[in-house]
Order: sequence, then structure tokens, then C-alpha cells
Amino acid sequence: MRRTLAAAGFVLVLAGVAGYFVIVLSAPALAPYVRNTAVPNWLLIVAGVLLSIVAVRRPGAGRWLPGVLLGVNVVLAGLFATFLYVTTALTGEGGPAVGRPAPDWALRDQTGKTIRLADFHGSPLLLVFYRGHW
Amino acid sequence: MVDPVETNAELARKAGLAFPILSDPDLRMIDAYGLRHVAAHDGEDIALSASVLIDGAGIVRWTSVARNVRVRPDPAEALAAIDALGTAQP
Repeated sequence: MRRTLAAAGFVLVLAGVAGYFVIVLSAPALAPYVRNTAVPNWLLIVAGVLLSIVAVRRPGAGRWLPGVLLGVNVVLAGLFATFLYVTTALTGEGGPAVGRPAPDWALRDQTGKTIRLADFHGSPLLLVFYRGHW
Repeated sequence: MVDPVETNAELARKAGLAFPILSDPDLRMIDAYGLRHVAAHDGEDIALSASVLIDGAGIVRWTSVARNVRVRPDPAEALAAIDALGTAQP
């Protein structure tokens, strides 16, 4: 029972961490919430770590495997957090100042036609800066 | 985006996009808006993920600039900002 709990905890943490990359790499447009917040993944990870703790705290023999898996889970959770909030973090500010005139521009669209900021005078314009096709 | 017009034409065709996709290979507009992300893609400079809402008078009214390369501006936030624009401009 203890080993089953410990194994279940490990599987949950693994699913939480690996699932993030599967979702983001295979279907980023379908899961912007997951990509931006990773909340479902964290729920799985927390549940997995809790199961690991329960497994370790149950009385009886055979404590080493649950102990090892708890350690692995904590390390995985730490690596995941490091990736989400440290490795991919950007430094510095960016973007134009709110309340100021938007910088002018004239660029070609996908048909080759030149489009200018002034073309949109009188109507609101939402500019979305993409990093590529994703 | 920094891709050439031809790449954007292919993207628009494949994805069925009707809105203009601007090509900024020299990062002129991206720099004017302070959105260059240095060496972000195989050593090349590209734009930060960002949305900028400009009103009919050409004033910047709302911006959302990602502070993490994973994160994309939330479309719901942009829609709310557009709605707020409507109420602020009778």
C-alpha cells in the first residue's frame, strides 16, 4: 500500500511536469491558460507530493522507496518551478508608454501592401507582436 | 513579426487569417515600440510577445508585454481593454 501510494505520487508529479511540455509543444494555441499559468500542472504536482508524504509517513517497514520517490518529486517540482519562473523570465521593461502618442510606422502586410499607423486614424487598433508562427 | 512578406502570406493562407500581418524584418517598428528581444531565437533578434491598443487619435491606451518567454498576452485582457476604450470615448 505504501509503495502503491508512493508510485502514484510519482506518476502524478511526472504527469504534471511532462504534461506541461506535451501541451505547450503540441497544442499551444489550444491551451494558453496552461501555457501562461501551469495551474493544472501544479495541481497534479502538489497532489503527487502530498501522496508521497502520506506514503512516507505511514507506519511499517519498507520506507526507502517512498523516501526516494518523495525526494525525486521534490526535485522535479523544484526544477519545474525554476524553468517556469527563472529560466524563462525576461529582464527589463518594454513596450510604449500608455497615454503617449503611438510611434509611427509603415510596413508591408502579407499581400505586399504598405500599411501605416495613420491608416487607422479614427478607429481603434490592436497591434499584436508575434514571435513567430506560434 | 520579423518574417518576410512571403512567409506571412503563406501563414495567412494556411491559417485563414484575414487581418493584416505586418512584416518587420529590420525590426524598425519593434524598436520604435521598445519590444526587441535580443538573441531570442537561434541568436536572432525577434519581438517580445506583446499587445498594444491604440485609440482613434493615435494614443497608446493599453499594453501587455510578456515578462516571461512562455507567457502570451491574454486575449480576454485585450478584449476588456477594447471595451474600456468604447466607454471612455463617447
